[in-house]
Amino acid sequence: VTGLVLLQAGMDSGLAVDPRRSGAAGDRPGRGGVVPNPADRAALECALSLTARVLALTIGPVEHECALHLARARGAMGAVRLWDPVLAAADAVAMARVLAAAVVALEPAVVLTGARGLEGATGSVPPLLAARLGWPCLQGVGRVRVEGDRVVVGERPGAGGRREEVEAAIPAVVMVRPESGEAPYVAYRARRAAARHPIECWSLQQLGLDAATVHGWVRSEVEAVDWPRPRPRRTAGPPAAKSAAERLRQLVSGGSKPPALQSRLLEGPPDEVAGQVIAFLEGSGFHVLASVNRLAGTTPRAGDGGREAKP
Amino acid sequence: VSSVWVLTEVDGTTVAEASREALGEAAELARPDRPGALAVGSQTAVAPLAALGADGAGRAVLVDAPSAAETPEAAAARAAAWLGAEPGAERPIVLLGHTPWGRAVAPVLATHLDTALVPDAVAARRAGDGGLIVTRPAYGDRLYATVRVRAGQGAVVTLRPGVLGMAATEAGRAVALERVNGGPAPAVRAPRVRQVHAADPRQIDLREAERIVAGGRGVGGPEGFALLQELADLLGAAVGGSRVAVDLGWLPWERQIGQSGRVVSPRLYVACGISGASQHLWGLRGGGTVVAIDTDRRAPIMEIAHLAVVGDWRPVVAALVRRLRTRSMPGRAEG
Repeated sequence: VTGLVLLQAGMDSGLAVDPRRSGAAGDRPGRGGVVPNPADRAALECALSLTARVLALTIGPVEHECALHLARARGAMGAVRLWDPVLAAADAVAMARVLAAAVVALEPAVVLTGARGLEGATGSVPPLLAARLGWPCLQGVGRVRVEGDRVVVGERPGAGGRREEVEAAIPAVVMVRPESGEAPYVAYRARRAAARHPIECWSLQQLGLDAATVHGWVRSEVEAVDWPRPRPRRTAGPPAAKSAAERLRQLVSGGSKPPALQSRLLEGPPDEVAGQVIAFLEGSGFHVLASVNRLAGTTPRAGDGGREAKP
Repeated sequence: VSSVWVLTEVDGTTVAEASREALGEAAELARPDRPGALAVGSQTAVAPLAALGADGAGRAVLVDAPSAAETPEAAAARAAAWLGAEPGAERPIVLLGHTPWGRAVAPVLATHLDTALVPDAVAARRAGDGGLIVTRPAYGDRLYATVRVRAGQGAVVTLRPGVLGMAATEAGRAVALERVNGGPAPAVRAPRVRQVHAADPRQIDLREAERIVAGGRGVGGPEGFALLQELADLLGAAVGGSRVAVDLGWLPWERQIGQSGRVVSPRLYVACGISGASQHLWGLRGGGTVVAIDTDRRAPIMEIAHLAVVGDWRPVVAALVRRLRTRSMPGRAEG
């Protein structure tokens, strides 16, 4: 299995950003602040754990090679940097189409990348790439493994604290969660050695593309990056069917406060009340039995309940 | 002018709140027309989709998918096929919620329709030329990027849930539902959920818990929390508490709910012996069902509770535990 890691380098999001002082909208403030994307770093480690055949690809000008040097230092077999000035204005759609051409050229079985980008941090390029290639895309997974060179399996957090195990047939795109593991330290000696490795530089022409084609793929452009200007939340107006007094009351309360609940008050012998509580829960859609059955295997011994209390 | 659609997320018989929010934003974009609501699903989606007329939908279209278990990617392919075949020269503008479902659907939809993709937006408006101007957070939410999509390009925009809020509804406004035959399942390669590992309510972070049983000063001590833990185990709930309970050492800090503890949004919250000081209620979000058991009928928690039980919590919870236990595991020994 050949794994291709897409590495992005960009402005360090930990730096203070002032969009008004960094020149044109969305400009990067200079090469000093260019770092490899931490989320892609996790994807690199993930790829290295999957296979020995790891290639690294980055799209960007020469200062973005820092990401590729890092990949070489960690053990990637090859590193390719793809660049053309037209790509500076490429949106996610155009970027995904260019990447698709590169993936076709490199023929990997699995494309791995971070679940979040730097800067825009929308994470939309990898799924667009998958859609363009017609490959499945595993979004936001950690602990990835390959089974029998055919299926890639990953774990991701689901709702309510659940963990989901998701699988996709190879070839596939895998987006790795940045939280999925601590990236190991890269020794200075390894970095020095990696810096001597040549990095292949590709142009669009090598992929059979040209600037005009790529420009034609661009569907959106970032016009400005600025401080947020808050827009008031929409609040529903009082319904016309209500009485004037009721509507006034809603307006005075700002429309944000929900009307006071008509809470049901229960009193009486405990056992009777308990029965009514259970009936209420079931009436509200809580399957008390289902949850018990599901947990039957994991329910701890009775009397173990004080475990969480401080000694 | 390109048509405006909301690709609606229907879970069973409920329309996701994010989709209804998107419909509010779509209504602004579609003026003076009304946006359409499009969904891919089966019979169960009929009623909730038709009800979107009250949220401002001018059309409601259901593309039939025989299997409810179809992947989001397949749904996107079906929606794209239908939207692509719609008469009209220009590519459409499609809004959807930036939910896990929306994140899987949107890239496939944008690729099939050959439109722009603007994810995680917080606002969208029409430009003077009929294009689209979308605002979305950038640089770790510290800055906002203004993204322009030129007229005629079409766009798929996912909107961050909970930012825009719901638009006013027009109660009783109905819209006729158009049902379209979705045809055979599209050949889309998509990931598959192989297994779901249930969370252990005893270990789960309270912020993720769907059910919480909480206690306050009225619980009286660690023995009281042992009883609450029994109820929680039977309900599949996690145990939490007010600041008082934590300060008194009855619970560890990570089990504290409120302003100085965890902010939780469970679907079910059972409060025992909690008065419901504002600092505590501040940590309770999300509009889940609240059941309160307290001796003081004037306690603030009783006001926000959907079911308020007046009385000592201990015999009530003991009775609940007894009833639940006999119902669930007939052969299980008590104790």
